[in-house]
Amino acid sequence: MKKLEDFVHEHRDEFDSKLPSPELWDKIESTLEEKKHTGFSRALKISSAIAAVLVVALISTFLLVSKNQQMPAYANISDPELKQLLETEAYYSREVSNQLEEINKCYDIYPSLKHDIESDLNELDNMYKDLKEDLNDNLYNKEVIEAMIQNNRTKLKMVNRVLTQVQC
Amino acid sequence: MGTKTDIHKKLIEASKKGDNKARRQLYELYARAMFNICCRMMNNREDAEDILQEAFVQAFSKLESFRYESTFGAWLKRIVINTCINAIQKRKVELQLTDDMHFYGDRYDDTYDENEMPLTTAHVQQAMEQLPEGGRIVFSLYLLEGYDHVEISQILGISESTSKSQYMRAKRKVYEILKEQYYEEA
Repeated sequence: MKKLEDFVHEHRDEFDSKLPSPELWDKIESTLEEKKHTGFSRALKISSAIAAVLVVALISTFLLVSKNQQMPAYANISDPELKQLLETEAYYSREVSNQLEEINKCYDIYPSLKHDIESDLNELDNMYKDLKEDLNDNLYNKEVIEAMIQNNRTKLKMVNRVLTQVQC
Repeated sequence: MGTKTDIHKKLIEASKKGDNKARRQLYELYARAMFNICCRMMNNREDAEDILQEAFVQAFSKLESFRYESTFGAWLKRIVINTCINAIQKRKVELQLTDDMHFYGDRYDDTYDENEMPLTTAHVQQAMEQLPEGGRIVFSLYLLEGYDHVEISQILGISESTSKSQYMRAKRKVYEILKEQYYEEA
């Protein structure tokens, strides 16, 4: 009498008889190439962004110093609470774009991820746009700024949750 | 666990530096074994190819983190299996992995007579393909991929006893199917 386990162990190699399609390696290679490229173009984008920021900073300093222009409306706000809210909003907005950069890296490894979270992110983005318009119409309304912060915090939470689940 | 010297260290180190030829050689060494794991886990050739591609891309992308704490094959196998499990969970099909203690109590003969019912690999494979998803996965991980029930419980996030009972249940089902197949053909 024999056991199924014995049969499987004796014939273990025969259970690995299937072969993947020969063109599968090419697909893997091209995905890896694409990833390398995205990495490069991302580095290029970041350097261009830094260069652009530097140019803007230089021009603004020049304008400020030479023409002794007025400070922007944002800096002129005297209400400390409002000022703090605006600073918090700017902070979250920066954090969100940093984390989105991170998650972009994962799209190559987990293509389905993009599809899964994009609809939620788009919805939040549209809400954010509406809020920004409200802010322009109704200059520096605290509730609107608070809602913008909340919106960015939700995005941040969502993106962070995804980032801890997947490791890229 | 002590550090094992990997026989493919040169290839792995070259691959870490992005050498495509070395990567291809590593792929060719492991593709077949990994593909067969994917086929058993996914029960579908097309999905198995997608998973194999995703797993190799992932493995090469995070090859830097491979520090020879296990063999390369064992490291790669875990990536492949995790990729399979993620894909199965994404299908939104709930893996039915429940603990059926009564299977322990059920005494049944888990032996067969070689002369009466000569088995073939193809028959066993066909029987495995007919198992329910959860049972098939536990059965493959235990009997074909060589994980013990403690490891399977960690991989699938289930208890050790669930892994054991799922295995027993799957094995019993495989016997039943094999017998049916045999008597149909006879």
